[in-house]
Amino acid sequence: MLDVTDLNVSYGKQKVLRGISFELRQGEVVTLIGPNAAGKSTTLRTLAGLKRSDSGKIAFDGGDMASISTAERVKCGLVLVPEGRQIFPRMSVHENLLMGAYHRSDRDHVEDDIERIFSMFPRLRERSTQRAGSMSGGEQQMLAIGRGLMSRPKLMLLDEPTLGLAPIIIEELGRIIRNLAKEGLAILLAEQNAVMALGCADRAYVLQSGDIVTSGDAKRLSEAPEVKQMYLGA
Amino acid sequence: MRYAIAIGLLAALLAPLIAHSDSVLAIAIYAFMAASLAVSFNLIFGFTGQLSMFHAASFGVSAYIVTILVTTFGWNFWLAIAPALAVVLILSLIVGTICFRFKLKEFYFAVVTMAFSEVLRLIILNWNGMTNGSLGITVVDRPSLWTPIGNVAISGGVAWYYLTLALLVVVYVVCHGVLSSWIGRCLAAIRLNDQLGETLGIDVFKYKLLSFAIGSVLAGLVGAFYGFYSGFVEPHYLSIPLGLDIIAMVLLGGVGSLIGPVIGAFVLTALPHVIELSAELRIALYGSILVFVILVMPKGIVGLIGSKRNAA
Repeated sequence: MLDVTDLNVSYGKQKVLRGISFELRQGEVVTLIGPNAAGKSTTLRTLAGLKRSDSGKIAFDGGDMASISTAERVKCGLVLVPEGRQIFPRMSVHENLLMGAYHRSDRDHVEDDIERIFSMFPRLRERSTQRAGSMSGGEQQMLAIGRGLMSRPKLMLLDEPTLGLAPIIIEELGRIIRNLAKEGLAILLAEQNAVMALGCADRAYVLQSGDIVTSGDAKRLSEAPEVKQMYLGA
Repeated sequence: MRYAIAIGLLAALLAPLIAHSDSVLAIAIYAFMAASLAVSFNLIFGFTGQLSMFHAASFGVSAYIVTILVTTFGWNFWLAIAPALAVVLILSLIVGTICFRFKLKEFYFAVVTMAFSEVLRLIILNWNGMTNGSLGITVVDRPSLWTPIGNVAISGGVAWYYLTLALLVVVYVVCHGVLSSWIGRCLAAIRLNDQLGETLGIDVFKYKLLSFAIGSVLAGLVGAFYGFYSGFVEPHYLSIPLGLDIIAMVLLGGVGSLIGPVIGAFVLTALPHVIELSAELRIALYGSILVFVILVMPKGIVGLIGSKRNAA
């Protein structure tokens, strides 16, 4: 469903991605792990159309994404949930969810979708009219994911969703990601928290200074000695 | 708030029955036009977060075009409004496209729009043959309104009072309509965090341009009438001080509200007449008010009323 070939991205003269290639199938959870500044966020931002690539192909759902805007990519079903739990803190939870569905033409079904997200995240229903900024970090991350789902994506790009969250919330997040994949959503998860990422992903790519150094089955990778040593602290 | 606005409108409709004084009517008429400018400016500034310095230019260009078409070419006033607004629309699309394509924000946007606005002012100032340069154009024609009993010239305070009140209502209703639709939500997202808005699939460029164009055309609509009431158009209409006056009205009344700029416009239009002041002192007063507002009531007069009510 997503096919990335030889993607090169740079900030000014600094090369950030050096011709990486990877793929992702429907209903699959794939994780990009790697240290800080490996290029994980850049990969996701480029896929979402927020950063221009120097060269390379991004094929999604049969179409070429490279030349179209972020707005059009969202319409095609490719949505980014950005790093750092970005929400509109002064808007209510309900309004934040609405913002995720703004471009849809079937606005009659928006409330149905909000209902669906509330049943997925009951805590959000309780806080529907509350200011989003007053919620806990975990709740804000759930809201950001829920807002991403409002665009009815086929592929969701999750950028560091566990950042700064308590272990118990991280566990819950892993379950949510698995459940979403079960419903057919493809998820590309960029994570520094390799334990969590390898625990919930089907496959993984290890990114280091802009290159993919290892890839393969997530379970197998989590037992590979070099990954264990570098990312799992064992 | 809704009741307060309805009562205010009703009072405005009935006011000429009590207030016969021409000077009171004149202040009200100027305040209605200033309020229309402030409300339309606030669509761009307060609700989309773009500090446009092009508002006075939109206003002035339209005032000149309508005046020239009517006085020099003998057009019908109402017919002349259409090409004036079309020119303002095209200008705002050009300026907006340049600024928003290059992602100019905050003060960079303000400075670039100010530059475009100055270019237009200098063109008008120097195109003597058409605009009469720094002397401006005296407008003696009065627009007339077609009624079943024949064309009636709109002259006299009361007629202009209702005409400009209608103008304010139109501007207010258009802005209200834009803001309460999905467009308003997109504008809010752009104002609060345009990068996040883009991530969510909002076409940030398109909506910034839309807001800028609607606001500018509404300013053009005010400009179309202004010269015919004041009796002249002059290059000062496109000046930066006029743009700053509009900002002062919006800040004083309340940036985050639709009705705030109306209140701000009334206070700042009436104030110099209530307290007799020379031009220099007036500018000093504006400055002091701005400093005072920013320090003491960042949400303007409307914010002050709102917080009092919440406290009670």
